[in-house]
Amino acid sequence: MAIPATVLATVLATTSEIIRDILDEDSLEITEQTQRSALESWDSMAQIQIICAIEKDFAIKFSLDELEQLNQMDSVGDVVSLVSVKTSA
Amino acid sequence: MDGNMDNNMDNNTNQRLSYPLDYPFIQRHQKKLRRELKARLSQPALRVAVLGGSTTQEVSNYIELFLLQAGVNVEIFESDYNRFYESALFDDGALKAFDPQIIYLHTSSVNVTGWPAVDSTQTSIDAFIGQLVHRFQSVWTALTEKFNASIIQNNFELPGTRPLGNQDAIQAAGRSYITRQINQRFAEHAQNTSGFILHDLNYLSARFGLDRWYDPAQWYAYKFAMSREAFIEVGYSVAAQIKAAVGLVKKVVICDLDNTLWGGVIGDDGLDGIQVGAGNATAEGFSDLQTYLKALRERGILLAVCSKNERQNAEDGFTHPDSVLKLDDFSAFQANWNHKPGNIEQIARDLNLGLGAMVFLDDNPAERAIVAQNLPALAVPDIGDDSTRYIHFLDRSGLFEQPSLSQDDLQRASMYAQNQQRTELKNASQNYGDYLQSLQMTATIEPVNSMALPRAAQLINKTNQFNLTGLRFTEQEVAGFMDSPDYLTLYGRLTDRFGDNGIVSVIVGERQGSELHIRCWVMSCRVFKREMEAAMLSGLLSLAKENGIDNVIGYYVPREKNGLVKDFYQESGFQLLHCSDDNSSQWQYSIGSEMPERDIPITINPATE
Repeated sequence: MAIPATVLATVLATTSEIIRDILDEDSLEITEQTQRSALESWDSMAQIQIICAIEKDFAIKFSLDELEQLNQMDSVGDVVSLVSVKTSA
Repeated sequence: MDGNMDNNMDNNTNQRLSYPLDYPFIQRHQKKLRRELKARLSQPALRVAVLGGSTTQEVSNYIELFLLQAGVNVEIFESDYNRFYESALFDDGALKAFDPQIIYLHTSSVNVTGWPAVDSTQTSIDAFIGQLVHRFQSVWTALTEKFNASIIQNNFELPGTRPLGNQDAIQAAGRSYITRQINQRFAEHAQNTSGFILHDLNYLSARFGLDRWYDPAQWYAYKFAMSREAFIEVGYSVAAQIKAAVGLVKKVVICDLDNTLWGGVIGDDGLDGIQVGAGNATAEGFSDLQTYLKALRERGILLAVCSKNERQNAEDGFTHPDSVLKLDDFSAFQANWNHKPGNIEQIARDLNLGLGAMVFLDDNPAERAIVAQNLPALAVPDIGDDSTRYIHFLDRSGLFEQPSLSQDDLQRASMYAQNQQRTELKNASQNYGDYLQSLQMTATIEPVNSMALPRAAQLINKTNQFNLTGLRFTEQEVAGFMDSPDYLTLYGRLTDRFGDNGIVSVIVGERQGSELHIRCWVMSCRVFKREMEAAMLSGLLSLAKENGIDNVIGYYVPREKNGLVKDFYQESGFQLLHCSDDNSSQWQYSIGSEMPERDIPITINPATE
């Protein structure tokens, strides 16, 4: 199913804010193309913290399978898509 | 809100880092908060090692955060994942190089494995418990042998699930039943071991709630022993014990009266109209709060009053037949119509204690805000707006942690009462010399021994005013000095006709050839102006001479509150060797063949009958 662009944009904005806070990088520009592997501070602990903050902010809960998927994802866009699907469900 | 917080950390943030903790805010901003708080601290970092039986990164972050918030600069060392046993027993050198002052063993129920089967014999269950306790004891022994560090050890939380149901608490092989026995053994070890601090994870998890505590998915995925929110509580709680271990303890609770210690306004409602005691729910709540405060007083926390009231009315409140607290439970009493910050500063002067050692209790948020704003060093817990819950907030604040309770703590309140009698005698005496003679003082001055050790360490860590260098040493470090040929230690206990002041002064000197360098010299403010410092100096010189010392070298290092002793060495007959730009100075006293005769109004080390 297609996710409306407005939903994607909102999820991206909120997710970006979470990532900036957790990584303590206020001026970091984040787009759907931003890659986790390119950011040194986005280590495995930061990953856990970001995922948990996303769960809290969007009031969703990832399954163990989804957590595994999220750990494999490198681009912020993929994370935003998964979160958008879950919030629209 | 904690004492040493900088003014420019806004109150709102401070509140979110105090009980009740704002989990989402802390989780999201902890990295930034740690960076900003650390940037404000310039003093040497306290070295804290976290040895884990599970992932330690989160809990380490939070311990650091809450210590930084309290103005304690800190550096954290983490052992490799689940290597607490190996780190302690077979250190590869990394821990030794770090040389921790505090070691926190982050272990929990996930580290209890190989549980006995339900049909196990009593013998094999006892063996299981014995082996587990022994394994931990060997960790503590190894760490104690290698480091002069205080050890903080978790006990165990109850299991999250119970295959035996309620029988789990009854059957010999029940995990709940076994956990309680292990915890009992840990508590007994803590009772008998100085420098060993038990962190009651069992209580913390119970009050947090086991259902929220255990998060199996996080355990399977990341080896987090508890939920992410529970980590914040553990960090807060362990940080509170570390603060206490380094001497940041509260010594006084300053209480408002109307609608804080009793319901109603005594000036309007009269003695008959205030609510305290049995009879109705509100009155019972205030009685319980008074009972809680009385228990704090019995363990050595002083009580004071700061109230906007006519003094007579305020005092009358404690004549209420149901009042648990009586007027003589208070060591200082300010009831007038002046602003509270000024009154609180007066209380600090009356008790000769710093604002950082004080907690302010007031039901009125506006009064709390004014006091917090004007006196940032003071702890001003938000106690909510429900009088039946004031105790809850006060208790959960973690403000009254203490690494151990010494005999002196239990007697402190009566010591301050004796001080009031001394003041009265002083006013009646003709001159100060006569007054000192009339006190009939005797002192015991001798090297620190194991009996004196806990109080000596406490004094080193808590004394701010008569403290020549400001250096802090843990109990373990002082124990090391006691046994080392490179150090001379001395403590002094002072008794007078009104009672025993307890151990009031400690000196630690390091030998370098025929020189003795005074690393630490502290004296309790309770005995200022009693010539006890002269008695200690005399004891020090004798001890130094016996040990072949020719020169005693003293140091004064300016700290926030020790201006009082800036000229101490000069006044005591030392020669100035060196004075630095920062006003720290170095002094020398050459020990001749003749010991100086000085008239000290204290009988030192009288022969015991």
